[in-house]
Amino acid sequence: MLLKTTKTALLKGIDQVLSTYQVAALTKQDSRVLYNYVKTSHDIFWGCRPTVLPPKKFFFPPHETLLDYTADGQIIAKIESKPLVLFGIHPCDLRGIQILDEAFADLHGDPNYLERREKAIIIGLDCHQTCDQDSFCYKVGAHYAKTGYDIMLYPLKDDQYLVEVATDRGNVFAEQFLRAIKGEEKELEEYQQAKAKAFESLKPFKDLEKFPELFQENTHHPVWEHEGARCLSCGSCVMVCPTCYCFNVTDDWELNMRAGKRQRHWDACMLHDFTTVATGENFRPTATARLHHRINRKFNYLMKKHGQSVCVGCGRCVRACLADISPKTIAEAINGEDEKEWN
Amino acid sequence: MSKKPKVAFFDFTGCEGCQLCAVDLTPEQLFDLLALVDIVEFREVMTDKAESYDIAFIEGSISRKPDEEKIKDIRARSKLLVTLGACSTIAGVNALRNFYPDDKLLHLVYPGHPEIDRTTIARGVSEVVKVDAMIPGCPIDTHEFLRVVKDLLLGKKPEIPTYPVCVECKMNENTCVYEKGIHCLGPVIRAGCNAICPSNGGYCFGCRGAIPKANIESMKEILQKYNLSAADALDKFKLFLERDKEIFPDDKN
Repeated sequence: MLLKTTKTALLKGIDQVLSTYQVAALTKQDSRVLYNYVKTSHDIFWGCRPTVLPPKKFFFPPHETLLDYTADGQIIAKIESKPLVLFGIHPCDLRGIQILDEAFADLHGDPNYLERREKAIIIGLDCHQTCDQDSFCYKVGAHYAKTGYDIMLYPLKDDQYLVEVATDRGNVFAEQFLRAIKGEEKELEEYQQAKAKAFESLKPFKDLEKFPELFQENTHHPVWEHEGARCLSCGSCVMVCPTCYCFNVTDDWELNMRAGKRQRHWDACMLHDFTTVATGENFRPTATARLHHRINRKFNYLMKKHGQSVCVGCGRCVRACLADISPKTIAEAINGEDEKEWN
Repeated sequence: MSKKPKVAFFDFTGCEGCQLCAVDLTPEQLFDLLALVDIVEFREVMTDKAESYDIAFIEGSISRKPDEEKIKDIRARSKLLVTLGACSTIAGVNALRNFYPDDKLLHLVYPGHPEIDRTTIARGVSEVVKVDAMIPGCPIDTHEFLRVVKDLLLGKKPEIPTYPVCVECKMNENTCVYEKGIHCLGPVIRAGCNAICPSNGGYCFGCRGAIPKANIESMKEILQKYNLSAADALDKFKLFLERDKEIFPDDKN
């Protein structure tokens, strides 16, 4: 279903929905722009600005309690979740959420992630340009959102928006909270044509669909050592990644030793001790080995599993890396796109 | 007789702030702690002494000849010995004195009293005796102290992060200090402080010591890239990291 509305109507809709849902959106805090809960629609930062953390933190927070336990054997599983409207999510992050949805639903499923996700309505906001020089969404096609949203907003001129309602949940939201008129397919087509033109010179990676094989064949490419030598193993890249989902689980007793909490915290393959095992061996002891693993997770191992690049090109890791290590540089060395002599 | 583990606190060269942090507890926490352990020796708060200890917490660095004998004696009478804070873990700010030759230092600190000659270089406790666990930081984090106590009582090896401050900075969604044009030691310094300094408008001073296998060469290149002064950076490293031989490889003494 296609609708058309205005920024004023959207703001009004947000204010109304705030009585039943928490709303999270881009907000400005001090000099930072980040995804956060809003009290009114006026708190929303209306624009496109890269954030340090992607919106995955609402479904998979950096720290969370999985269960409470007592010394006498009681175990209470815990899931903290509330109905949430996630507003203004850009295509790269929608792609990230889609990949995490698949990852956390795999095998037994992750009840904590899935319950939070189930209670969320996601309203996407399309981009018609890249947000800065570090983003490379267009290299992996993530400047277009395929799924992962309930409603997608396409910005037109004069603060007007086309509203694509993609799911039943989105429909309920639109009917209840959004004043809108019917949208014309022709307007969406025109919008998409203009967007395609804006991205015309920004080409995808050469041989993107062959990346799993190319990365498999190029385990010993000099680019790994070249980039790995500079890596600080600081973990910034993996902390800010919208598709990284590794975690560690700890048991934290209260000081009275009568009860405790089982907690999970983000963990990451770029950190030295991630692959240290009980006997002291470390399977990936060098930064180069860890970098190779991280990038292969995005362009090889998980790309095979998810059928698309698991790097969404949001550029967060590039911005966060003091040593200027970028998946784009590595991919362009592996596929030969950079025509650089690495040996 | 109580069967609770006997715990003691000792101080060497330091400001005693970490001992205060260890007891900076809510009344409830204090009673919970005292239900778990017997504090048998703690100069800051009591006059009692004991002959042996299950856990000895050591604050301060070893910087005088008599300190060496004293710490060896404590070690011999302790089942577990744990450092408390930067001074005992990595020699802390006391190690700044190690950058000066002894005669110059004495003249600087005690002008006109050449007879005072009692300090040695400042060292972390592990340079003199075996250390079983460490609680880094200047000062220590009270929560980390309690976590280590609980881990030791449960017979677990206390887990102190081996990853750098950047991890916590990113979780806190801070703007990178480097982006503000300021040099920060965070990328090579042990986390566990919840990035308290960068999260509150400061930068990492390095009080928790360097992470294992810190990439110092890459850090130097990064300084150049951000047009930051290498001398400035070196001064920052000097504040807490003199004993780190990866960073200051030349033994000046």
